[in-house]
Order: sequence, then C-alpha cells, then structure tokens
Amino acid sequence: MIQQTRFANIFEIEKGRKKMLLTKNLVPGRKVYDETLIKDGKYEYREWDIWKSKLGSAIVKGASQIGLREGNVVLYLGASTGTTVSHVSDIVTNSGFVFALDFAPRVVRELVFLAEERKNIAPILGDAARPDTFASRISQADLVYQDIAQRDQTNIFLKNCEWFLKKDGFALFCVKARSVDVSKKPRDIFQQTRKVLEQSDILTVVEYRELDPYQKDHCMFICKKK
Amino acid sequence: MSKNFVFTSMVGSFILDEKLNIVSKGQEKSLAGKHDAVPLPKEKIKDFLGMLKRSDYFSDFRNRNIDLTKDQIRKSATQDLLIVQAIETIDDVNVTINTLSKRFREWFELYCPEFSRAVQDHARFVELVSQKSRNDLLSDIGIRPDLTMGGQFGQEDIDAMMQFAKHLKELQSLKTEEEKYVEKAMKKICPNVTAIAGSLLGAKLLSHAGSLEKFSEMPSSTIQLLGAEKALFRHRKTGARPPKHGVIVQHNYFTKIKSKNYGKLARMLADKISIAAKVDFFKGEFIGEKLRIQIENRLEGYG
Repeated sequence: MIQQTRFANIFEIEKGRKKMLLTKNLVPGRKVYDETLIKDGKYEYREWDIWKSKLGSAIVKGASQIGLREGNVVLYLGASTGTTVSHVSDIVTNSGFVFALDFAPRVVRELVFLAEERKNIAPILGDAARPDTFASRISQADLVYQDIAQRDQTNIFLKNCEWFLKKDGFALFCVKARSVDVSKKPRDIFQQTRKVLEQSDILTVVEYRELDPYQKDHCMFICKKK
Repeated sequence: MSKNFVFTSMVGSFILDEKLNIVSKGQEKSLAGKHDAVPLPKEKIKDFLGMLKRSDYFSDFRNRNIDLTKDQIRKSATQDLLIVQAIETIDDVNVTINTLSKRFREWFELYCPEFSRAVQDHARFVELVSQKSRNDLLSDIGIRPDLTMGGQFGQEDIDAMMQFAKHLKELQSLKTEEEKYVEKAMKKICPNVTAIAGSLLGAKLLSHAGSLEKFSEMPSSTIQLLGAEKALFRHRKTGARPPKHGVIVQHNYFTKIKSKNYGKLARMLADKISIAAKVDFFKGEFIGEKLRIQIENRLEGYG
C-alpha cells in the first residue's frame, strides 16, 4: 500500500518489516540506478535507496522538514552521477528545476545522460568553491543542497547560499567529517561546523541529523536563510 | 542620464537600470553598441539572478548547459588521462596474467610436470610450451620422455590446453604493447618526470595523482607517499609509525642503496619529481637530465 509521507511528493510502502521510500517517476519505465520500479494505478514509483542517498537517509532519520516541494528551483552542488538528483527531480516535477553541479568530468558525463532524459535538470561542470565562475549559468534558487567532500565545505556552502539562495529559502548541507579532518572525532567536527553556520549572519540552523548507520561519519544540517 | 548595467547570462544579455529593471535583452554584441553600460558589480548579481528564476527560461538553461557541459567534457579528455588508463590497464592485465598463468601451470602439470618445475618465468614458460612438443621439452631438460609423470593426453585434450596458452601469450604481448605506448606518451607529455622516474613509475605516480594538473600541484611530501595512503592514515589516526615511501620505492635506485637510507632517497627523489612535474605541466624547458645527475651524485653517499 503506497502512502504519502509528511513530505510533498515523497511516498512510502511497507515491505516486510521495513519501510521503503518512493518518489513518483518523472520518466515512467526508466531506471536511473539499480532501483526497483513499482507500479500502482496509473502512476509509477521509483524506490529511493537510502543507503545511497544522504537526503533519503536524513528523511528516514526523522528530519521534520526538508523544505523541498513541487515547483522549487534547486541548486544541487556535488551532484555526482545523479542518484539523489534524480529523486529531487522527481519531487520538484516539471514545474520546478534542478541545477546540478559537479567538479569531475567523469561523473558529470553520467549527469548529462540523466539530464537528456529529464526535462528539469541542467548539468553544470564547475567548481562549487568559485560561485562567480558559474553564476552566469544558473538562476536564483529556492533551495540549495550541498554534498561535496571538500575540506572547506562549510565556507563553500555559506558562499553559495549568499550568492544564490532566495530570502527565507531552505539550505541542506551534508557534512562529511572524514574530508574535514580524518584524525578528529566526527561529532567534534559537526559541532564546530554548527558554530560556524550559526555565527554567520546568513543562515539559521533549523535542524541537525546524524546519518548513521546509512552514511558513516556524515551529518545533515537543515538551514534557512535570514 | 543614469548609469546602466550589463549582465550576460546563459539565457541572454540584459541591460539593467540602477534599480535592476530590465531595459533591454538580446545578444551581447548588439546590445553593447546601443547602450553605454558598465558590467554588473558582483554584489548586485545575486539580486538580479532572482529575475531569471522563471519557468520560461528553464528550457534555455537546460539546453545551453547541456551543450556547454558536453563541450567541457570533450575538452577534458587530455592525454595525461589516457596514460592513466593505460597504466591501470597494465596493472590489471598483470594481475590477470599471474592468475591465469598459475591456472595454466596446474593444467599443464597433469601433462608434463617436470617441465613446469624447470622453467620458473611465466612468460618464457608459456612461450616454450606452445612451440615444442612434450618429447622435445623433456629432452631439453635432460629427462627421458618415457619416464615422465605426466598422463596420457589425446590430441583433443592437448588442443584445448594449447588454446589457453595462445590467449595467455596474447595477453603478455598486450602488456608489452601497452608499456611501449605508455613510454612513448610519457616521453611526450612528461619528459622531465620520465627522465628521473622512468616511464612506468612516472605513469604510476601520475595515475595516483589523477591528472597531470593535480600531479603538478602536489608538494613533494605527498608524492613521496603516493600509494602509501593506508599506512599514512593509520599513522594519522592511531599514531603508528609513519610510512617513508609509497610506489616511489619501485625505482631502480632503491636496489643499490642500504635500507636505512630508503627514507632519505624517497624524500630526495620525490623532491626532484615534484619539480619535474611542475615543469612538465607548464611546458618548461627540459631539465630532467640535470635533475637526474643531481640525484645520482647524492646516491653514492647512500650506498
């Protein structure tokens, strides 16, 4: 039985003892990675593998809101091959839009294939650390999502939110502790990051979730622009 | 007259007045002639980007970003990446050759165990076996053919085994071919690194770095430890003894010196290689020979 979750356009289904997250497939019949497709009535749903997607695991870990809804324009930094991007694209549907940026030509290649299939994704090969280099390729966004494994990921996040996020827009930030400092305890790094975010006069931290056990040494901050 | 701004985005060029209202929109060149406008300052770009957040621009954003990104990807396939692929292929083929050679020996030993023991080198073994008959092989190593421990094989059984040997030989020649390619390409792309480290080791370092650009940005201390990441992070996490060298230790020079000097030589070699990599990336003059002589002069003290 497919049920609506508390988030727009995100569904779930009971499968044995576990619940599975789903999004409505924007391009019926097509898989993006090796997820399963579930047909129900006239709609087709795609399984959202929470072990592969940090946004998915944040939802399962009980985030109360993610600020993502139909019609949103999303700036996605660190899109990689487009696993999570495809679900974001499902959620915002064709009335919204996703700017998907990544740094490595190897993975953006996959992203181009994804964008050719879906009408609401623009692939961008660019460096998230330098917003001025891709400012001419995007518009303002309702939501900024960042998942990059860089040492100064917090500053990059703040810079991009300042440049591209609308007022009162949501910003989701995945922190990978291991790429900040391998020798420190992840939780110390998360707390440090939180301090930096709160001290900036750009964002307020709404929520904080650690993503264990789905993503080791990762956490997600859900912020709102002042 | 009040001052106008110009901002060029993917979806077109815009002439804006001081309050950022759109005065005119079109191609950059035709607009520049008509209006006397200054480029939009950075801090105002973010205000204007909100005006572009409209669904009628979406398809332009998408199509032009796809085109531009495709172009960028096309240009990103440089020759240093080809070297990286080739050297990683060589590594993989090497592993495969070893596995298959061991399998082939197991098989062949049912037929002629004495000969397999006599020739240790895989490449030579496969070469000889596929050329000569069992009787010739045995008399070559001085054993009477009728005293072999090997079983009786029909022609069909031998053919199946030899088919395997043929493909194994092809794999070996594939490896040498690719090595030749790497050597040629390395001499062209990284002449300085090749002069110091040799083409294969140079290519291995390059593949650990990912690309020539990243390689040239590396400090020598990083180059020294390329390939020793596991040991390095163990040291960082637990305080175990730090590694002295990574793949760099495969260099010929290390066979000539005392093992207590390995750390010193690794440090020095990495130093010179990092200089060479920078010269190679920025296409400077050839200084590889000079660097190599500097290393060799120091080498005598390490013997």
